[in-house]
Amino acid sequence: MRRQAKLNQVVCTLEGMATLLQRTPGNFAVVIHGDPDCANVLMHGMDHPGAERFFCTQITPDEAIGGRSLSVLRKCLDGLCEELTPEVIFVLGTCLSSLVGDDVESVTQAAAVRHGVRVVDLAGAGMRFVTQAAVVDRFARLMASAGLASQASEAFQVSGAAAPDPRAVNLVGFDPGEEVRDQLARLGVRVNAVLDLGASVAQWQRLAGARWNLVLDEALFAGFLSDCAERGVAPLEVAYPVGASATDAFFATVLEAVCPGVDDDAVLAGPRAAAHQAVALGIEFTRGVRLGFNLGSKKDLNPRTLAREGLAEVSVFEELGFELVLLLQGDDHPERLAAVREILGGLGCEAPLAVFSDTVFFADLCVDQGVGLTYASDHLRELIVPTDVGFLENGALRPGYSGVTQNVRRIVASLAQAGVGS
Amino acid sequence: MSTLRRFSLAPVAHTGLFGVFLGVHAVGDALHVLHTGVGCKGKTQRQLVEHDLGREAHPQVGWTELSEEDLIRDVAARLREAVPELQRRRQAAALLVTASAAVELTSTDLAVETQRLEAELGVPVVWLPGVATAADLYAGYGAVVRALVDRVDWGVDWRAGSKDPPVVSLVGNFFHRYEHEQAANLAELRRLVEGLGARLGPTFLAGESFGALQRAHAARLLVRMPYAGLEADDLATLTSRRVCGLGLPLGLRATGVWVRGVGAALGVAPPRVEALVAAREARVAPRLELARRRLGGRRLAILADTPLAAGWVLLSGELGLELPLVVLLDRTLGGEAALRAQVAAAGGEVSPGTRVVETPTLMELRGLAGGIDDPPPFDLVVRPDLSLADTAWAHVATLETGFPAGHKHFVFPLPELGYNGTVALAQRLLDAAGGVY
Repeated sequence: MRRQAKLNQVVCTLEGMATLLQRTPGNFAVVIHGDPDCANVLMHGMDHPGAERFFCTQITPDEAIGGRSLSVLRKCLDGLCEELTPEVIFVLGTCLSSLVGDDVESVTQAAAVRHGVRVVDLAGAGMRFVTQAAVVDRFARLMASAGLASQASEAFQVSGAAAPDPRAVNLVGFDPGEEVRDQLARLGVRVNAVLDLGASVAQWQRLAGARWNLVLDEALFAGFLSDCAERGVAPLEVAYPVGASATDAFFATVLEAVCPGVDDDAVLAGPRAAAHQAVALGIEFTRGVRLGFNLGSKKDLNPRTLAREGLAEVSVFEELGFELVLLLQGDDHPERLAAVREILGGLGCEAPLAVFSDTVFFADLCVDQGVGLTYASDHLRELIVPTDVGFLENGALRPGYSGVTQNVRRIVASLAQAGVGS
Repeated sequence: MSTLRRFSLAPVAHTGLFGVFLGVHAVGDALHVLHTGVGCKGKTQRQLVEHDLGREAHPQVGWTELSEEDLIRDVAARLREAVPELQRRRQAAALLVTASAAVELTSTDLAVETQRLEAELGVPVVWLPGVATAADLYAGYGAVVRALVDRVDWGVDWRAGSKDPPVVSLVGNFFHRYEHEQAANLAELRRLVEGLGARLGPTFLAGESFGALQRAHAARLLVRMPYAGLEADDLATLTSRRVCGLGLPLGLRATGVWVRGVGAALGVAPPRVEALVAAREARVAPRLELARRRLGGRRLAILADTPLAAGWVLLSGELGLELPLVVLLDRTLGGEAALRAQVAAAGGEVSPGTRVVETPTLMELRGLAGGIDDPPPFDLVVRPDLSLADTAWAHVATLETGFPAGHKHFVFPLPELGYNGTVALAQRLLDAAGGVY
């Protein structure tokens, strides 16, 4: 197991689980047991649906001090069970409930018995830091309980166990896009479920119908993959199909495992050749340019961003001949840097590392490092504007072979905009 | 009443902690320090990033990231350690410190700690207690306004500076993003003030620097706007200045009231004020009449905070719109009584046929437009971007305004306040009603 939280932003359990649950369509309710402000970890409005399924006990200081907070939770759960019909209710504790030592689990268990509704205490809130990776894995395990009969008692009902299809795959934590999904289908690989951010409970319930769970990083989903393996769904680590070489590697891995011996030329030869040609053209503009690859600034709980400690897309820039420097946010204590180098080394990354302790130092670091283009978290864009450094936001790269041409165009345009290599 | 009501989220569920962040963001060089656990970071910048395209909010917030161990051992220790480091990095002109409810429950004297930090750092370090449990974001925003007003040296006589033209400062302007409608609003307010022969001084808040706000002592008159966080009398006591409390100058009539109010407080001769109002109205009224021809009789729903709703109620009357529903989204700006009072102060009234709903829950609000397959009971709605996407509200022609607004952004200076704002809003209503943008 890799040492996590050395490269990425940390979260609290409340923030992490609430964020992921908000994005997940399904018939469930979530109770935040704490002060009203804790409901503000949710995104309100602005195309972020899902908050309507959330409730908050809105504990007042008097209730907390007076030892009445659990009775408020009880009342909230009673109201939910009597007035709504969620399939399951998740309860998230907060710093406040942790501080006053609320035994949330006993109340959730009693409510479940009283009403015959599944009520799940998602223990672990409070001021403890957890890694985004740990939250992502925990969430996937929770959702998997919707699709794996062995764990149905924890959360969702399972309507019936499907036999795993040996030619079917689940895409866990990433969506390679329509083109790749279509190519997989033409090659005889059935995409059973796309379990990316925002996948519905119904999607998760299909989990057991596939033989394979495709993930970008097995370490990111250790618990989930173990649960699934027990139910006959095997893990398969693949490259994120972005850029020509990584897309080659993605298809090679999938086809070798799922349908060995299949001739992929009829489906892939044309797009593959076009992609490699785009790289060959692009490299004329990008070779030798210093690329600042930002790590450790994102807090989006996105498995794609977190996979391989944020390095899942680095091959796009390597194949274009960029000279890579990793721009890592956070403290520069020697122990941390030693751990980070060890982790990166384990992932086969030997690129030089530069650290910025605060976002406000990001632009200066880019300039000091002689960076021509930076691939970074979107909130850093504004800081870069006064400099001559090009900016490409993390997540802007398109997957699949046809994405390669678009990516090359975009990268070259970003360089041109910054006056690099023109 | 439903048991669930108490536990349901409000449509705009942000509390004072976010309101403080919004207020700090509206001061160009201030920093919001969160003395909280790691999860509270997401309650600030992340909530604003899609609303404000004009300025990245991230550099204006810092945090202490308390752990459970910190909470048990010494809650203030992380503050003492983290704030100087934050200030070294950010070089803020002022720091405003808030804590989570859990931290405040420990009853640590953070006021004393922030005073020590102020002495150590040499910049204002302001402790804002109780904001995490404040009922809405406006309470937090008002706390920032109040704290900043309190930092001005009002002992300096306004006569010490240039007396002519007199300086007017606005206190309680709701500046929620660095986009061009905000700049346009300020330009409109400036135009109104200058029309009265005065000069607009620092505005609390409008994106000005902390230093610029400190020069508010030059103001002879303070106009207390609805988001000030303190009443006009309290503001007068605090500042030793003449204060006039006014609603938002939104719509023809409300703008006239605003101009007359400021004019009277400045001692401008009434004939001059009336001439100004008449001239401006003469320009605007024919345009409103054109809009009225198309909009008259249409059914409008208003979902807004109380002062904004009052302005819209008045404007809807001027445009001949029917007003079946007004929903008040705030919890601290006065509710229905204040709405009626503000409308009455401008010589209007809330029609007997208008249903006024105070502080509904999100669940209740989602149902107020009827069933998703039914014909909508409104032709138009004025509202922020709330979690209503899969409800009947989504089928009503929408004019997006207020906070949050994830869809409507301004790269052109289109005002909402003043005479030009009145025409601009009429235009937007026409566009929404016509389904053309």
